[in-house]
Amino acid sequence: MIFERMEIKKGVFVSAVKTDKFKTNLLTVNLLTPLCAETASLNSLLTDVIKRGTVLYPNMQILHKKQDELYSLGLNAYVQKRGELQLITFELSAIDDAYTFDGMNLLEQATELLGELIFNPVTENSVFRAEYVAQEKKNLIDSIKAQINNKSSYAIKRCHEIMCKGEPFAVSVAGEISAVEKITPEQLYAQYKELLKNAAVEVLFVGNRDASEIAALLAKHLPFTERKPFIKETIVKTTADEVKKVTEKMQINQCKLSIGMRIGTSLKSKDYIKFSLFNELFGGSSTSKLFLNVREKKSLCYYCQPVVEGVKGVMVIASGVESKNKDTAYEAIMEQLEDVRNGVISDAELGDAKRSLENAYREITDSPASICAWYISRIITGRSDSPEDAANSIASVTKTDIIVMAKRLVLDTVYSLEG
Amino acid sequence: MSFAVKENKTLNEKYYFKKHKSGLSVYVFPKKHSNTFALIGTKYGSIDTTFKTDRDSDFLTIPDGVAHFLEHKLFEDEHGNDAFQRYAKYGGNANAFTSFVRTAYLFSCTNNFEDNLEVLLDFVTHPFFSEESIKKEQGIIGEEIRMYQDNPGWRVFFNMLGAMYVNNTVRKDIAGTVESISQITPDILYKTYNTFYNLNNMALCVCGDVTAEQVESVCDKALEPSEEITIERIFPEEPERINQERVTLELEVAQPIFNIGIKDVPVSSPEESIKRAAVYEILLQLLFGKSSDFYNRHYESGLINNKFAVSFDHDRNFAHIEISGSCDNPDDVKKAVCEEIALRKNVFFTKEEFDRAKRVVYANNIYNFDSTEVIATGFLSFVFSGNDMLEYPSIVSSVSYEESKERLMSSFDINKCVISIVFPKKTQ
Repeated sequence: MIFERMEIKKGVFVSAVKTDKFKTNLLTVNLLTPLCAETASLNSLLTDVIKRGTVLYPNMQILHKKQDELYSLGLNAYVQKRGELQLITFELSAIDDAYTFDGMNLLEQATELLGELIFNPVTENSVFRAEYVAQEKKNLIDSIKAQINNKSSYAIKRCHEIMCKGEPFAVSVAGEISAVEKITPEQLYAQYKELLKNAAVEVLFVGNRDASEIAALLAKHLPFTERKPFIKETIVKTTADEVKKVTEKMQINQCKLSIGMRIGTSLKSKDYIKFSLFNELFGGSSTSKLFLNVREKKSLCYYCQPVVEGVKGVMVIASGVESKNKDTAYEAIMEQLEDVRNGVISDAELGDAKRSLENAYREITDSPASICAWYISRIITGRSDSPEDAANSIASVTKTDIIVMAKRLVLDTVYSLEG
Repeated sequence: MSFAVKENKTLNEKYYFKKHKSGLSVYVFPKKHSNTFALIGTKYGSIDTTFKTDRDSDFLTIPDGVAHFLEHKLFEDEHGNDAFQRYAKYGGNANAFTSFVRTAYLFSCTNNFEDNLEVLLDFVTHPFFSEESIKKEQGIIGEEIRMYQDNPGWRVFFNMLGAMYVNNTVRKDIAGTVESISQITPDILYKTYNTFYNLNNMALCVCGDVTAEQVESVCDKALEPSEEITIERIFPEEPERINQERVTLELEVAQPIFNIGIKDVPVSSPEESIKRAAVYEILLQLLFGKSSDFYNRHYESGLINNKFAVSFDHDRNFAHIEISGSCDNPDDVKKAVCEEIALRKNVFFTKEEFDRAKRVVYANNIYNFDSTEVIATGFLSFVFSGNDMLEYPSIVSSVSYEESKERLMSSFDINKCVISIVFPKKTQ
């Protein structure tokens, strides 16, 4: 696996991870913008409207038929949150040319179609089609409302919002209903033009081509112009004021207890590998302290695990417990954290955590989507280390490092969703 | 006896097979990935609730949820240590799952493959069940069941099965109920284990940068031969008709979610199983795929959205089509689905549309060969239905236009169509 990154135009970067491991190729075009309430809903809606059709393929059916001909080409657009950045991502996944049965130059044709999707959307009166915008507003509002359907992820989202109130991180990446309702085709089109002109562009490719080959394809089919992007740094808070305690009600059987913490570091820092090992030992693996003690020994919950956002430097310890056991579970989780802080770490636990984390890093190289997710986070934080580099750096982390990282953790919010 | 080799030159993939002297069927699928994925499965799932071996005089009927409970309990040994801790010594990342028709134990690792495989084979062949450990597990699984009770996708799915099937045990929740698992005893677990965890009823699939000989030498070391036994299962008689046409429930959801089911006749042979999977995958792509008239017409009218999904599921004694999604008027979706099927039985698709759908099915299958997990897991399910994953592409390409048309006419019975809906709770 070879990672290469080059700036093909000012503000437009191409990175390629060349490997012959896969039968498919994955290409993502990421437009990087600050996550903020004014534009988050616009960007989110844009990724839905843009999928409705292009000038050459003016409706979804014609577009999908074209994708079918290109061997079921995967073509998608969606928003992602990385720290306090909102990524507008256009994604293409195609089987490699070697597996087409008519000798098609598939990756080239696929890139051409991706270019058509990004640069040539169907319009009327010089803006997006009003009908498409209205329909996708309804779909997006329904999908925002449906966030309550998945209780675990909803509880984590609420915990983030409460913990980071007033910080850009609290802005919902999918958008807010009240903001979506107000969007007009004119505003949406203006935002689209603004993004194409000024957003930082990071293109990532995973497959059997090198960066210069991808750069050549882009030059031909994705006419991004030079730009001077403004990238806002994610604010990493390492302290908390008073602990916020919030309980919300929903008619559910199982209580979702979410404990929000500031981790005292972030992916930008050299210390992050130490935090990652702490996390593996504390709750990240199935031999971690949380799994073995809170789940297995005390039988308090079916799941109890930390969900980490490394760019922002926050984590939520998410668990599902019976409401009457909520306080006991909270105590049990905090007791495990105290143990780590006090150095109650056996050599076996340390070794297990190291092997488990090393395995997790090495496995990233086996999936195009994981490789892509790895490098986009690295690029955003100004790093270029590979999963193998991370795996190799674990050996030097010591028990003392783990204790130091555990002590940096600051409790910020205790959120529970219960019946 | 050496390993048999099977190759698919178009896919550029091959595997090695051997029936190990212990009775276990062993499949090794070499792949130059960093991780190696291994899983051992038994042909025993939540639907198998009444059974005996040729050594037993009477049939045994067990409580719902035993297969899944057994899966949890097998991880623990007589000293109370769990298998996760044993894997941790070698860096293996372990898990397990129970479905309607099988239970499987798996790990992936990037180091120490032989040691990890030995842990897997050892704990799966050394059960230990006690009153005390069962009691503790009832707490954990109770929470798991409660968690699924709050999962609208899970509830709407099982309500659909309950609407389609009258007696078939596939209608029961895989984990059972808090009440049914409270009846579980060590004796029940041992009897069930000794029936289904006989190595002759199991298969091992390994995919990664390993050789067949490496796998075999670990099997030689870790496995004792199992006696050849015959397992008899009794399933309740299932009528062809559906149970009820519509079932609804209210939960904390924002918009109604639905599962539409079309009950089908179970397959009777391995050949029929793989063939029907291929024909139905093509037909469902034609009828309801993203490029279909149906999908686009109803997306544009606002009846459906991009959560709309279709699949065909079948195994030993059940077969059905599932159509799922979230929308304001699910009953209208069911009506539209039935109308579309009726229409297409009269006016079938063009040859051009058919060829495009086949190309889509061919290409989607290629994606399956990029992951050691998908290969090993997929392989096991093909093996247990008497088939070979590497043959699927050629089965797909052998499907003819005429037979697909014929199949749509003779199956897809809209009189056996049910709908399950989860509505939002009415505000008080």
